[in-house]
Amino acid sequence: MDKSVELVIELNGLHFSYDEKTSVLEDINLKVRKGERIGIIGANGAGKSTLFKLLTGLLTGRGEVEIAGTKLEKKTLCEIRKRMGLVLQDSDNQLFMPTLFDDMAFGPRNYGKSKEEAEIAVNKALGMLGIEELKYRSCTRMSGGEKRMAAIATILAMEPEIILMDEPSITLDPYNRRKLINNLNEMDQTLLIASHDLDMILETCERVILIDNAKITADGRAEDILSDKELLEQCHLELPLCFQQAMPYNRDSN
Amino acid sequence: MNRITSAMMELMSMDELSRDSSFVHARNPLAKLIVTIIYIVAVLSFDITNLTGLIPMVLIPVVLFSLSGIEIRVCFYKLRIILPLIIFIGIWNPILNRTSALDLGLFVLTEGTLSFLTLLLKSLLALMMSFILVATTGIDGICAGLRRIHVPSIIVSLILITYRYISLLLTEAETLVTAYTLRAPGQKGVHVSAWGSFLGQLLLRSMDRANELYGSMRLRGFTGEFHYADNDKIDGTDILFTLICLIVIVGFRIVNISRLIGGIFI
Ligand SMILES: Nc1ncnc2c1ncn2[C@@H]1O[C@H](COP(=O)(O)OP(=O)(O)OP(=O)(O)O)[C@@H](O)[C@H]1O
Ligand SMILES: [Mg+2]
Repeated sequence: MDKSVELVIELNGLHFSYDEKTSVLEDINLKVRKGERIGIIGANGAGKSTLFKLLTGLLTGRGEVEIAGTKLEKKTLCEIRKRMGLVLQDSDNQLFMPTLFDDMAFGPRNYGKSKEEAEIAVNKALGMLGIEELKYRSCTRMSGGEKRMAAIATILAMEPEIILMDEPSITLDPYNRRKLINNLNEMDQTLLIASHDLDMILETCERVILIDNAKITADGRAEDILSDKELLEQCHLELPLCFQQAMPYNRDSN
Repeated sequence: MNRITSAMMELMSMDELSRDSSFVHARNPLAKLIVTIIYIVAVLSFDITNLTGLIPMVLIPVVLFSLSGIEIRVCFYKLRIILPLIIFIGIWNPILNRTSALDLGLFVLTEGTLSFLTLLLKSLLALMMSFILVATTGIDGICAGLRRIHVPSIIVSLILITYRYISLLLTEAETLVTAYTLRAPGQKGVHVSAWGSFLGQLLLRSMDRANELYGSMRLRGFTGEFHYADNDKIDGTDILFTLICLIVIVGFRIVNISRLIGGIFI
């Protein structure tokens, strides 16, 4: 690995378990360079969401977490969270203010932006995702996909250096999913995306990490891992659609 | 159940109104907070049989409502779930206390009835005033105001999170009831045998969600301070607004306007 490139995330021997008995994550070692885009894949319950919570200090495990050269500790939490945004898997848990505008301004305002600066950031993020019409809508009265876009917008408005997205494309219609992919490809931030939408991962990430049995079982180029049918099937996954042979539709074949 | 939860949800979402703009919306949260607190204290301090003294106090929320552009109807509609409770609390007075307070010939006003009416009006006024505070300020603005008068941040965070938690609890209750009725067709309400697991689920689920939500707040820089809420400098208008309101409140509290006006005609 090229030493001159700045490391933004470094995990050393990270262990975590919810109940002290079964490990959810075991001996996780990971180095992420600035500007990298990484897809995190794995079956249901593999520990993707847990990993994201560990990275942002919502959960603490054994082992070392270092973000942009700063060790993750209680006293560095605030500084680290300022640089990192996490889109939660469940949008309902992400949105809590009366309107989307308030929700999006919440982060920037907390981090010291003035009302006007926050509004500029909010408008930029809304424009990027093309959801200006949701600006003053109440988040509790949005559709599932609208909430998804809204949740992503709240993080983009914070303009973090590192963005963690847990299932960003879930509940999005094809049009919005495509728009999201295009947006992700235009960003220059460091991106970590956990998803079962392997086609999206293939289009947006150059590197893929596969979690299985609490461990990182594969870490490499996206094309290599996502085209490895055997490996994927072992881990309850399946080739991305674009790698599957175009076959005539046949309901009886399986 | 579903009707009740939706009525409660509506009540909890009253701070959506705080996005509008009006003279009252534009006032500093702290100014409105002080006026509301003093008003409620003044209203509650009226003697239980002093209905005539209390009546002029109605003017203050009425004027504030019309200045804010929020219809009083909306307030009563949103409060519809609480109103029966108030009546229930006071309803015993006319039954228990039948001492005559005012003999009008045909109709005798008992002390019980008088105190019931006073109690009812007191609660209504306190509710109306709190409503206008939340509806024009938003819960976050109120919390910012509370912080400004140095209420400890842990207490203020608790108020904020409780407010959010109640809405969460209601959403979860609604979801659970829906899930239940979909699989128990033709049944009215939730069967007693399911109450235990139902309540347990409700508590666990809403606590989980509250935890996640709080996590999401912390991830976006929430540390118990309300920098994000509109809490601009207090300007001259705010001070004038507060002063006028306070003078009127204290005036109405000390001078019995009804009796004064009555005195002119008698
Ligand atoms: N709050 C919790 N308490 C106890 N166990 C939990 C909790 N949250 C998750 N788990 C367990 O930890 C494991 C990892 O969960 P996690 O949510 O990280 O999986 P995931 O990879 O995100 O799965 P999915 O693809 O379904 O989102 C699962 O076995 C799950 O049952
Ligand atoms: Mg997950």
